[in-house]
Amino acid sequence: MGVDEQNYVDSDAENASSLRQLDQPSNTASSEFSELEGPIPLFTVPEGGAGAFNVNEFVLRIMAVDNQNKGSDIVENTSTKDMQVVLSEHKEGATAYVHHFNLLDLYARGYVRPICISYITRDPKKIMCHFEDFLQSFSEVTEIFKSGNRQIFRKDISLQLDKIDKLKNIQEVEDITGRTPETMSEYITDLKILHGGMEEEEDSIELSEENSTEESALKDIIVSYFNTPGATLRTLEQLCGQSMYSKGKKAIRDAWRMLKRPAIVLALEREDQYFFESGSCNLSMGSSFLMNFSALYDNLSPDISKSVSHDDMKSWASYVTIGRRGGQDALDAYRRQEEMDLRRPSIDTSENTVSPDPSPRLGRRPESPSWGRNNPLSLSTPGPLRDWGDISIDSESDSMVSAFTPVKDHLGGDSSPETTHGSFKSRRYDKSIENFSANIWNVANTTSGRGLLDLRNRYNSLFLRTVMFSLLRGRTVIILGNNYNETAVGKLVTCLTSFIPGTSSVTEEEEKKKIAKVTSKWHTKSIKLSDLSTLKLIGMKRDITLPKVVERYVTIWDYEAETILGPPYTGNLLDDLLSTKKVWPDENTFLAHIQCILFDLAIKVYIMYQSQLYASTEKDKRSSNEGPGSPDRAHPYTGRTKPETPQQPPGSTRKMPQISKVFRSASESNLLRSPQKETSHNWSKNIPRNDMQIIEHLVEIVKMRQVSWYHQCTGQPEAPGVIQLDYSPVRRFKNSRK
Amino acid sequence: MDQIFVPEQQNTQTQHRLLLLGERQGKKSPEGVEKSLGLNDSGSTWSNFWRGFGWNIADKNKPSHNITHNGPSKRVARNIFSVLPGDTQWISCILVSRWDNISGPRVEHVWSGTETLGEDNLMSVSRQTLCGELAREDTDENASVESKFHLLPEIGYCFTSFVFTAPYGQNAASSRFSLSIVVRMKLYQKYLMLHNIVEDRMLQLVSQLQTLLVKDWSTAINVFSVQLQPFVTKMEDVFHSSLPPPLLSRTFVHHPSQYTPEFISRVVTSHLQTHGSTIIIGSDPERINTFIDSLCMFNISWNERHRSSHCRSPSTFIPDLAIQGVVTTTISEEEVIQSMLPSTVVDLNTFIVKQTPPFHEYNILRKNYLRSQLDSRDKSLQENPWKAQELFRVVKTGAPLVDKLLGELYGCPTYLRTPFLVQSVKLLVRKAIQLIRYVQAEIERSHVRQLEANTVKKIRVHMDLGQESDFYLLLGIAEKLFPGIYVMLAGDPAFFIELQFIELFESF
Repeated sequence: MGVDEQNYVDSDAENASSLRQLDQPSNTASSEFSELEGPIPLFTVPEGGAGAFNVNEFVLRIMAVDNQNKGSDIVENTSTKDMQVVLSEHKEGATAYVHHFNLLDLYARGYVRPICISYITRDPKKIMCHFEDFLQSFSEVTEIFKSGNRQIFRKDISLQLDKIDKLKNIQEVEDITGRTPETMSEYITDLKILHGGMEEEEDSIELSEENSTEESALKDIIVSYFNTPGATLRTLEQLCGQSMYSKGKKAIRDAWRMLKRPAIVLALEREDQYFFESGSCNLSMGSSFLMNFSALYDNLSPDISKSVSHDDMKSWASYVTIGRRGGQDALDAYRRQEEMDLRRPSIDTSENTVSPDPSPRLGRRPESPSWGRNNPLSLSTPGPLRDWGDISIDSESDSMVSAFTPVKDHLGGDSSPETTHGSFKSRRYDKSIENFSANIWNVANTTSGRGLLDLRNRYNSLFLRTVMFSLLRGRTVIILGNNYNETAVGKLVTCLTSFIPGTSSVTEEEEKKKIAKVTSKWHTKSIKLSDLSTLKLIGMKRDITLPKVVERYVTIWDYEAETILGPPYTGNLLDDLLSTKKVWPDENTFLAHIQCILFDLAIKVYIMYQSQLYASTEKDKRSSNEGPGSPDRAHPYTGRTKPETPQQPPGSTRKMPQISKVFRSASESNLLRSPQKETSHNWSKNIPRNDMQIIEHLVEIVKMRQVSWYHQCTGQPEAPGVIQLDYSPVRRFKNSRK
Repeated sequence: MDQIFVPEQQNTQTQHRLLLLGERQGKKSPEGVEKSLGLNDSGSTWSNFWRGFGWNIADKNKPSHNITHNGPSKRVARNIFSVLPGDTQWISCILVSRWDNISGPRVEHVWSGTETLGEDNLMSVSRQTLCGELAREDTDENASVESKFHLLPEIGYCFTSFVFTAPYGQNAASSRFSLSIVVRMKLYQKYLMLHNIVEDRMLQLVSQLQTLLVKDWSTAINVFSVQLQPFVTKMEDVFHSSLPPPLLSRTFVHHPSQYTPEFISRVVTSHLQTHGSTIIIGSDPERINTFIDSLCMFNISWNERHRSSHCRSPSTFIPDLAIQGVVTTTISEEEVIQSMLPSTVVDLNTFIVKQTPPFHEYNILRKNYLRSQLDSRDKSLQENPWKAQELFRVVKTGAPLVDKLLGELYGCPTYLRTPFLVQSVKLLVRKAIQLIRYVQAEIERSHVRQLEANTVKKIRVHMDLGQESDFYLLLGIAEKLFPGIYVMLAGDPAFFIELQFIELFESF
């Protein structure tokens, strides 16, 4: 367990070849079964990865069966669909996924060269549990090879026909080979049929001009038509073209990297997918996806009409308050800092009023560019997935809803084949936001969070609490260090990235930009107040002097002196996180522990968010009942007409029903108490103020994301960033632990 | 005894079905089908020979379409077709094939379910399963059973096969057999969900067939036909089970007053401890169904809804469903032990919650049961003599983790309860993952297969799992995500029994 061994074989049999992979410890091999020599491994991924696994025997076994189409004409015979096999290899203790496909080759018997790719793993359940992932990944890979191959094949035929045209006397060929005119004309007919079939596809290939003489043309035709003994078959590279071959090999490596991850990571990723794909309102911490705040859950309870739909998002536009910190306070601060060139604070963005047009369904984006990468539908050529007719690939289908749809409906009868929606959907592997388990099992793309256990052991609790509190509430942390500590500070920045809350963006590019802006490993320029709207964690050269106006709003960590200047934390949320009473055997376990705590926090944030949303829609409903003459109705989405909205901190006076109960500890909540009985409660008393600040900040992040999403959907310009001006009193702490 | 088709009678029917098949696939003309049935005998001997080995050698001197349909005409005899016992709506057919040292793969018998496959397709299945199995080193009768799953979009079917060795013929020579279940391509997604169950049942069938072939190869297939019936009937039930969209407003998540919180806590605790598999028994079907809808919301995976069922009519127990309702007052141990996973039994009349032993102990009990069942079949006994000693244990209290969850859940306003519950279950999953990671780290550090008691104690302390019920709850979730963790933590009971024996003998 743990280590993943991958082994990858590519073989080309008489008409077949194979590629495969082995899981645990890591390697991949490839082999070829040629018409002349039988099955030979082509290559493994990673190289030399087959280890003790008997690749030759395995290839012989998987290539033993012919996968050719027994169709009635030449076109059918050359267009065999891919075939997939999962088989166990008890002797080796392995299980393999084998993907057979055919490449076209004018010089091969029957014009086809069946190839196969296989993936071999020691985990007996992994492949069948994630069969569709394997199927999809390898279908994409074969599609790359096939598309390159089609171009080469078409070029081959055209050249061949060209040469035949140039021949003055076909009799010459017949004389040399001793074949009858009939067979030769059948060959030419075959070529013409195949050429006709190919022309229907892409017509973009430029034929290279070859000045072939009649003599060389004659020789070529003889070689290609009658396989002369000793002639070698073309390599995979020659069959697909250099660029497509490299692209295909890269795709194989990518697929291997994706699939070699432990089965548990694949399974959790699949579960998360239900929640992740809604796009607009995901909350993440560092690079780990935490929770989706969209109203997808409302689909779970269609009969509970009270739930708030995201079509009510319009009302959020009037809510762009950024709590007490980003609101009026911010404006005042800006007025005092007139000499600085400031961006307009976010409160004004609500004046970019959202049009009251019915918004597109939020939480589900109709077309997302980043989906194309994994969406089989985006492939330009007809792939095996679409050929299956029976299976419809629908990335838009709502999994949450389908989870509650009776399966009998899915199955249908023979008469309704287009019914299997839902589970066969393209999976999205966003490089910047991943499932939390990827980090725990060391297979993440980033190293954020690495070193946290050392950090916990190195600094005392009070020190770290201040750092994390600042990060979680959105107060920028600057780590000052000398030049010679640049690497160490950079590592600290990477490590603490996992505590920077953010929202996963819609496109990968956008997300990359954002991640780049949120942290800066080594800043050598002075920073402006406006930088604080994006930068949350900065490693900085000590020589740089911070402007006074910035210094007051940031937490400063002196790396060499091991001191920190920032608002002290008095809550209890981070206690469990940093407690040294608990012993963790390794960093991964500690990261898993952190993820539990962060998720628990996210649940609280979710409850807060939903109740605010609920309160606001209830309020809208009430105001709409007041009649059309109401001033709120005249400008329902501007901050000005609802002056009380931006100025009040969320939740302080708004209706906040029953939420407090959720925050109570288990001992306080009595199971026997009537759940319907509601008591008015001052919720702020139950949660320490600092913890509430964290929760509020996270709620604001989600809201901001939704508003910007709404602006995107309605084609309005993106709202400018928000600067949080935090006036909390600060204290200096020194690390006491050595 | 199932009906055996008379060849002449079946012929027209088969052809008719095959024509339909050809039309649906849009490929084969009626003439092509006739050829594929072996009515055209102009095939070349050599191509037939090579086809026997799975290779289609196209003669370049002839256009390929002249060759490809000249299949071997005697490979599938007409008297091997029979109807699959039990009524099925999803299994296309089940077939047994054998590797013949002279003619290659042969179809030994076909039980047609929803349709009769053409000879070409049947031969495809045989070839795919048996080619490549020749000349393998481990071909004695004790060789392990190899499993294969094929997706053949070309012919529109997928099939799962098990390749095994058994004696055959007058001289009882070891032969390679395969038992395959063929399903239409369009059903493969649902099939994938049930693959584990099908695999388990098919392995049982393979054991039965092997035993029969050892006993008397000539009557084995006929006896086996009878034994197929329970398999087909039970798989049919599993295949069609699924829950309709629930009426959430009626569930105990929104109306807890129907039951005491303490009872709900016990049920949910045991449900999660037994990997989400629960049987609800009682006398009122409607009440049972609402209870099932409620309990489903605590499942850790959405797919389990597709393996659950409300009360059915007639109300019977179906092994291996995640959650099911049975209108009865009692459920026998012999029924419950057939499931692969431990089960919780909730009695809505008496409010008693019972559960089978934990996963690692349950596995041993089930193995004993299956062995005893095979033995009793072998000896032609009417009943399985297996008796479990106290299969069920009563669940007396709920786990603190569940109490906390329910407390917070019922503290939520109604409109938030469903999402809150979804997230809370996800939090439990994260805790289970932390447990998995902890155990893995300790295993890697100490290079052992299972942890010592002290280490387990340490893990429980640091993960705040002081209560046994909490610990088993997280283990129940963890085992689903990471098979094998139960044995790593709790030890292999089979191993313990062995140790006890050693100690016993050493003491003398």
